Amino acid sequence: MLTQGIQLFVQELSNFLTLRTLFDVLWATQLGMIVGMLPGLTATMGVALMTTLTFHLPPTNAVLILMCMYIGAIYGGGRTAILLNIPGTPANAATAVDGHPLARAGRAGEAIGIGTTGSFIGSVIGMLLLATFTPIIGRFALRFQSFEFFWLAIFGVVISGNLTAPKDPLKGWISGFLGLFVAMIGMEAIHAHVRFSFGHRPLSGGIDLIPAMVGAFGFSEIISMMKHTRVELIQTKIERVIPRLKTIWGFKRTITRSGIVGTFIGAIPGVGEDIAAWVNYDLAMRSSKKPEEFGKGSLEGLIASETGNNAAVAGAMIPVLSLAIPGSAPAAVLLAAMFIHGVRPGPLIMVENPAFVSSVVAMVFLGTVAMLVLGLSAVKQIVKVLLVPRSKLMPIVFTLCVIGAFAINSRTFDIGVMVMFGLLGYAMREMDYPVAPMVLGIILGEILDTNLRRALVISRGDLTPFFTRPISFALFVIVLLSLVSRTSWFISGRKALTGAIVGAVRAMVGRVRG
Amino acid sequence: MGDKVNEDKGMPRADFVTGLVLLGFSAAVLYFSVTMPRLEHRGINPLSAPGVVPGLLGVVIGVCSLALLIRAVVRGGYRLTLSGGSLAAFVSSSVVRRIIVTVAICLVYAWGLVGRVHYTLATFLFVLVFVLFFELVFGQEERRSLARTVWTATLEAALVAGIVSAVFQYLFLVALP
Repeated sequence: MLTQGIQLFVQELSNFLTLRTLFDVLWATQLGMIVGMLPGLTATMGVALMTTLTFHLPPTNAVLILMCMYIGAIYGGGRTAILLNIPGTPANAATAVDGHPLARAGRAGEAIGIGTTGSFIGSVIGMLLLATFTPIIGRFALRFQSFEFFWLAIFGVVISGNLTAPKDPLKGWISGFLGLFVAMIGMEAIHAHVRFSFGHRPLSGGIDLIPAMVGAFGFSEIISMMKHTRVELIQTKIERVIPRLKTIWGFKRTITRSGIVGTFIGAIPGVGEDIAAWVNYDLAMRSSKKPEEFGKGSLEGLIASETGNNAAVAGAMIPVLSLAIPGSAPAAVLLAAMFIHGVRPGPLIMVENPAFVSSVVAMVFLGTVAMLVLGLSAVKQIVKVLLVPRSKLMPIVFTLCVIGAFAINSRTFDIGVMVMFGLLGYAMREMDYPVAPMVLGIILGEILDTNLRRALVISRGDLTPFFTRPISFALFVIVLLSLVSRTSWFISGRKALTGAIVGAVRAMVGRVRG
Repeated sequence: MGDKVNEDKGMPRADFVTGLVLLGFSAAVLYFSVTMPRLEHRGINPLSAPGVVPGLLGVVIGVCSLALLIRAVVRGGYRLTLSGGSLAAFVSSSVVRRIIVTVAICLVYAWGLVGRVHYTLATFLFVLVFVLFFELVFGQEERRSLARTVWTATLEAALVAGIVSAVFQYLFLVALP
């Protein structure tokens, strides 16, 4: 099986080795890096806008460009975090904590080099796990029926709400369920009945994910960028960028851990690179020999964050390919793009189109290599992009948001959707509601809708199969735990219970010894 | 949900208002789901009626917003103070003014101009007005001569409008709005 997988990978990779494809890889990764570097242009927005620009291309080329864009953007944001103390994308917030103090100390080049290497290794680890776990999860998911898919949709929204709104999960859940509702608008999939359109013709076609995302991540970002006053770029000398192998080797434990943890966090539905970076940063600090350096320019913290966020990119593709559920917001756009191009990921992909999984692995590989090469070269020139003032950049971005929302279906209605979701997204952000669960909800809405009703018809209205089928029961328990684990009575109860258990074990051990 | 530790944190007043709005929204969703046709004349299973899932979502959103509302009330969010003075201070703050201007220019372009005026002209005007407003009126960027600011803004607007129109029309074969 392993040799077969490697064979497929090599075959797919060699298919990509044409001049045209390699050129696509290079420009898409470079553009992704620039998008990631510019504050206000996030990976999600870049991938969403790029989807509108590539939908005339053949499917594999389009997905390859999007994948490279995604990898480049998550990496590129680290550059701004280090030089400006502003994360270029939310995924690089943890990078800024230690990267910027390093730049202030005149070690910007070293920080960029370490960050690049971390991103590269993280991406490679993520790629290996993507290749290993996608077929396993895909095969396992072949046993899923409507009952399981129902719980999976609920689990996605709940866990995404939990993790993207750590201070107030209730708001994360509300955001997720609102997203599920948005998916209810328009024609439903079982009886072709039009819901919630109130006689409005374009609305009966439903709300498209891409215009909604371009608005929620693009327009709302423009508003919050323009409200702040100007920021200053610190002028720092960038000397040696290529890191010493000895330095990297010294962090081998941190890098391996961050790669693996980052991939798994990326694979959790709707939980993306930003959370992966923070969790890894936290883990690195706890296990570090020099925790006092964290926040003051610790290379270990920087590498943990940058390894984690790029590993999460590959991780986010695992559920996309095996379950058709996105692991992060940019992955949601990639999933939508695959549907636009007629590729249908999900449990059946290992049966119908096993080469596609290897193809995506090969894409991640190409994007990762391009990122390393571009990341270690032309550093000084690319940084100049940051000198473009926002008052000049943002109108261009909005122009692209408008035409991008329009281009896919050639409907002015979609421009309206983009604007509405932009305003909604901005209001949500101001009131501490995360946007990612809503986007996930829009994708999971149809899965929830058709599978819940199908399940009810199969069981003739009996609810017990939702709780008695083994996989269903396991998913239900996970959902329940993610819900109650955030309530104060559960936390205090857990502490009391742990205390009681520890006490009982001690007493038992004492008795045995006695 | 009953996070009593963070009683002074958060935004109870905003939560109170959004809680009310969401509660109204969920009630509307529930109403429209219950009154949605059950398609009996097509002999379909009532358990697969189109209104089942939206109705359940309405209930869930309702429960969540009720929790939000109760928490906001416990934290004193119902004490809404809205005076003319605070409203005036809100509108005159520079951050709010910048937000209003950004949204206004974008809305006029997206809803007013695109589709009515020729796309290239609409885009040119939008970029020009946006750049000039933020560089001259808010003076966000460093002061340069007026003529140079206007000149570069016009150049940028013309380039953006021309390139975007051409790329989408001839390269991506999109019929421009």
